[in-house]
Amino acid sequence: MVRQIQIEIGNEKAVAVLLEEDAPKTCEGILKALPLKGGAIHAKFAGGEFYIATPIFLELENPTIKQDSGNIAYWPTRQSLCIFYKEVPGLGEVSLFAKVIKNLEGIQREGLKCWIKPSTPVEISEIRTPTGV
Amino acid sequence: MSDQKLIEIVKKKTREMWGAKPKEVNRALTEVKGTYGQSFFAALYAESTTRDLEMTLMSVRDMAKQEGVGLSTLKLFLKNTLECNLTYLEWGGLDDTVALIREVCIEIEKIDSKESLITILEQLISYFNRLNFWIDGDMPWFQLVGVYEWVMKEV
Repeated sequence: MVRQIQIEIGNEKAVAVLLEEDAPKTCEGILKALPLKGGAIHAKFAGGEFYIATPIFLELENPTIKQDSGNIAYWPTRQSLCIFYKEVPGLGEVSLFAKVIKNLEGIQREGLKCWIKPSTPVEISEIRTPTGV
Repeated sequence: MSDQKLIEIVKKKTREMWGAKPKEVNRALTEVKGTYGQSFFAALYAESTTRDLEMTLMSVRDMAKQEGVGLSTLKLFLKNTLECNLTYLEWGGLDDTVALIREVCIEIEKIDSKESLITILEQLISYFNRLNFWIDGDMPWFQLVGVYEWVMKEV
């Protein structure tokens, strides 16, 4: 069964699957750091994206620039976990490691709110009993 | 002070400020007054300096992992980088961070291995990154962007 994580932001909860075949080291590193909590900061240049600080150092893996809505990536330069709630052309390579599969709409609602008022509390945790995809 | 003690000091400070917003963030954003009594530029300095320091220290960490880059050069570069930014951290009202960095600058000379240096760098990177997130999260960017766009059209 593919491992999953839960993203809680504001009033919304979403589920994402880990792309362990594409980014095994990043997935492992992120899982070890969970639960992650922080305030969401909205991207100032990239577009529909918000991110939270992480206390971990991971090398670039499965590098991607252009992001689809629902992509979740690790940004090595800023030690941040980035959640793309819109399609984003991208400004630099990040490690794509997960994809939102449930309640992307909720993430999108909170992402827009974060642009207006940042620092929405976010918590990311592992789902111990993954639901079917 | 040993390398390990310095690492522990920075680690402890980072842990303390990770989950709870440091008091100096509010001071930076609203209490430090600059020219004509405004607090905007202190906030800007606090935000930009912490962000720049995180990225610069990340670059130093990458350099430290390279073969052929000497420990003494790295220590000198780190000390100079931190000391150069102290003024802007002070102007930004980040007094607790200034105190921490002054302590780090004194102890840098005693670091005796690249491994210890990298560990200290990683702690400092995490520290400044998290601090920047606290500051960034409290800046009224949306309103500032609105005013900026309006003013620039008027000009």
